[in-house]
Amino acid sequence: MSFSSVIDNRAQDTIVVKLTGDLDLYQIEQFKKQMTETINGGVKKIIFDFESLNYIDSSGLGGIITCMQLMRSKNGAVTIAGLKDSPRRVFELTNIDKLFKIYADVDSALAAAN
Amino acid sequence: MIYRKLIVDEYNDLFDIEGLEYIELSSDFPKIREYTMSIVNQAPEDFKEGNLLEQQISEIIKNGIKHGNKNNAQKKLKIWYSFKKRVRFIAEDEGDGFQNLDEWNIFFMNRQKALAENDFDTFVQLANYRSKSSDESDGGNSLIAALEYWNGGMIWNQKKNKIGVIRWFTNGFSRI
Repeated sequence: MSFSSVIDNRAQDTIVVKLTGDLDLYQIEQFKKQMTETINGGVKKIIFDFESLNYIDSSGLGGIITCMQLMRSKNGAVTIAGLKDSPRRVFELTNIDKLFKIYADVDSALAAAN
Repeated sequence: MIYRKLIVDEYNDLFDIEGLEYIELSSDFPKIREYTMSIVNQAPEDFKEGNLLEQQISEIIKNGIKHGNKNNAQKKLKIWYSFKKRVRFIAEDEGDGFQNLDEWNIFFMNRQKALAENDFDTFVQLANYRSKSSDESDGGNSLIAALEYWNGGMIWNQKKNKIGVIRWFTNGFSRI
């Protein structure tokens, strides 16, 4: 079980965070630290790419929500792309899917952001 | 508005352990997902729904080890489970019990009310549940998902240190 989050600056003020592997109770602390630093760096739009994410638990979901809340406090926005399979079910079971604009893939999310 | 809530029922049938497998786990936080897989691997593939069953059982084991037993390796988490025709799972820790159960029910009622009324600002604020004992790694959404996932019931004993759950698979198996 491994996890990585790779940040790609696609456009001014917009980043794509590609999530890979398992975003779970063991990975969340590092993920939150990385994202808090990124958000405090002044980014305005974040697109989380879930295409390669295999697993998310309530800790991981909480991390995504925290990012959204922090971005919202800074008048920024978080969108989600490529959400599928079990991670999508976790979003739906908690109604957290209603907090985000969710796109089929990163290209669609980028097109909407721009 | 109808909303579900967490229920205490000491003598509920969900605590009947006849015919269930039994194991004891030490409260070893780094092994939570390993423990989970050792159980979930015994389930029929159709019950796993991708890794949704794993995620749900992992949350219960985590709650018992982390919040119940406070990661005290001397304390055990007792588990009963069965995958015959449905998923049944019982977990009992050695902690003081889920003292915030009533508070959580109020939180969830307010959250569902905000959702029903399209009160987005309030829903954002209530997206995560936080209690005095929560830390930064607590997601706060495990019980919300569990209430939906365990479609046959989710019950606590009177002390609130033991949970019984069941998931039925009606209309064929749920596949992703």
